[in-house]
Amino acid sequence: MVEAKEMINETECETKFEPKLIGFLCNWCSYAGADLAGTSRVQYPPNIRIVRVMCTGRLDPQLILNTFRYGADGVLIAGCHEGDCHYIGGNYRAYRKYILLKEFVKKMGINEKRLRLEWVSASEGERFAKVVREMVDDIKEIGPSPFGVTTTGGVVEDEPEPKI
Amino acid sequence: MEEEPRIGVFVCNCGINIGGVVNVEEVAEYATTLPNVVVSRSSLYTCSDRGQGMIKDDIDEFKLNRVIVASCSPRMHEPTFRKVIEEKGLNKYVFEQANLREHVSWVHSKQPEEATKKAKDLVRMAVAKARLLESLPQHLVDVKGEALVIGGGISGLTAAKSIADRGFKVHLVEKTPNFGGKMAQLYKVFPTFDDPQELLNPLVEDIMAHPNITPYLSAEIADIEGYIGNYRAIIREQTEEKEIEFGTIIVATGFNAYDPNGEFKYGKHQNILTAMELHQLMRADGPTQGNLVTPAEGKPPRSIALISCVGSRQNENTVPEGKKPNAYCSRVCCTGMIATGMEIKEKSPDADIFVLYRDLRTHGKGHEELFTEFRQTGSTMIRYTDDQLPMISSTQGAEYPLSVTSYDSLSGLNVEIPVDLVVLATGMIPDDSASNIASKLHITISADGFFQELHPKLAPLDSVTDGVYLAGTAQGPKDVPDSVSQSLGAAAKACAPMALGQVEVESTIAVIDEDFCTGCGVCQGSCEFSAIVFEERDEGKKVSKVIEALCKGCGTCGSSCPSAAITMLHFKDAQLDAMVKAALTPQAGEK
Repeated sequence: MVEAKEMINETECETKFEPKLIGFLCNWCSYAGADLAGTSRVQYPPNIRIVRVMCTGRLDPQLILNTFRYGADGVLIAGCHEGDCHYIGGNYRAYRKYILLKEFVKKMGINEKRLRLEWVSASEGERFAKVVREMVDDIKEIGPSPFGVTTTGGVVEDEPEPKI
Repeated sequence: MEEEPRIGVFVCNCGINIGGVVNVEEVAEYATTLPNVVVSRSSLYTCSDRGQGMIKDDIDEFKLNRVIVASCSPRMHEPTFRKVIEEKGLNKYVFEQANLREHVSWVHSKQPEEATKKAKDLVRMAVAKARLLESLPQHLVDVKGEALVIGGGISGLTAAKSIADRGFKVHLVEKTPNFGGKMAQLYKVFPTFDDPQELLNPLVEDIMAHPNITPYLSAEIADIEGYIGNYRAIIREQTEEKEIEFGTIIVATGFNAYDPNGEFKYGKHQNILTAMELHQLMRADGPTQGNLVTPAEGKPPRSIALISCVGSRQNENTVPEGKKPNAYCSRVCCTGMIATGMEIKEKSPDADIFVLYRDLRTHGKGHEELFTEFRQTGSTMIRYTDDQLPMISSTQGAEYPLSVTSYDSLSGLNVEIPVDLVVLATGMIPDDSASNIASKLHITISADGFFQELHPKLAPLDSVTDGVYLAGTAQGPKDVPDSVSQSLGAAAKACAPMALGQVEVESTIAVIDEDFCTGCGVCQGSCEFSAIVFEERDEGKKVSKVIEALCKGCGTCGSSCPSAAITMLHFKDAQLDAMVKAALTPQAGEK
């Protein structure tokens, strides 16, 4: 009996997939929104690692593609709502790049659901948590990224990449 | 900056805020395994004197040239720790903060193991970035000793006078033909029952005669641009336009009364008024010269119902379809309603008053005392609930023109009250100009529509834009004393950089490598601040150049450059790439 139980646990462990998400959040709205989720003690799954940037407009498509290359199961880009950008229109420029990136990512063989852009304001702590929850659920359904499991065990060798 | 990085990592318990969830010792120990980390420690409060002392001592002892604090959000204490390392002669840009509180312990409080793992990941990411951090040159800008105050209500007037009294020039812009704002429209102001004109008139006279204040009435800001210390605006006063320059801005655009259209039969019967309309009616300069009579019949009211929380503390079920509920408390209506009740009693001592309230919040200084006094008048208090709002109906032909029915949760009974007059204690909403001003000044608005302060506790008067400060009800509902206090505070904040004459601005700007620049101009099109211009080089080659003072450091140009010629300082491609890599491939980020 004991043996059988352990075996089940082991199988469960093996099949339990915890997605690795990277979130690029703008300093003024979404990073502050994520802070507010904390201040309000809103709970969300611990799958996301947040990188602060001043503006989503700063996000280089190459960086997003690299993030997938390093094995991210999902990438969240979050910035200010339309018309709220601290730098007037950086979010719109991020949106343009995002539309193109979506196409590009598909061509790379990555499920487009792995890349998500959301507008999260500094007062939307609960919404930030909700976005992370949804994304974790979505990606759990899709499964691990094809780039996540490489022959080197997830480590990508250093190699100079020509810029796209 | 070719020297080998020597990184110190300081992991904070923040009392039990982080330490209660994350195994801080384990994280600190883990940090020692990361490349270039020469010392790693934990402390109870890293921001305390003792914690700061520890960082300073270690900078000396271990010859640190990079410092990482793993604690709260950098939006909270980055300036604190940057100052600490500056005191030890390090450049403030060799500091990096990992957010273990807002982004870990507070949001994963039931998952200590995962939280600890995530904390280690964030520290590893911070180390990866810190290894690539660079010292950046300090940028100082001059601050012009003039301020712009937007809004001429009690808050704007108070702030303008306070700044002008300290010797700085003030441009005071009011969109209506008169100063005094909403306060000037009231009959009396609680809790002392002063005539608002008696308080406002001397202040307005001072303002008009003040040598340092230029007043603009019926005016609007046609255009505004610049940054702390160096703003420029075009003020349109009726048909005239004037260009002004100033260093700091106070936003005091105030509030509007909530429009109860579609609720409580407002607009369906003349005798249903908002609190502001009742104030108008009671004023000596009102339509009845201050005689309190019902608008429909022109007779003194015998029975009056006051209803609270109209436009405040709403939810989906308490607003008509299509209206967005205001979740917040307007903070002035409860005491305002009580004060109104007493004013009615003074004008019509025989009138019966029925107060229909949800909760009575008389929180300000002297407010509860006022409520105690009001209860001596023998008025009836009826507590309604938000799932059964009071209903108003027109009676037609009965002795009283209106009838209010409500459930009273105190007695558990349904009551029906015949009344002559219904007064709705309407809440505050932001002034119509708020969203326009927000986008012009690049400041943020919170979920309730009022301007958002930089930090609710530690920076309640600052906006997110340096040099722009918030005063009065523009930031959220408040009464006159609170508005005045906040305005005096905002004035003091605005004076600080003007008194110094110079402030340091972020050095995190974009720089262009001319050798790689092909002069395509894409970056210029992507810059919202016109901070990039062409410059001619030898043989007529055109290259783009960043005007440092205009660059706000968003980095949008950098990500748009097809030649990778633009570097966004402090958020360089390589720095962000290293963070991501460290997050996803732990082995790559370890020793």
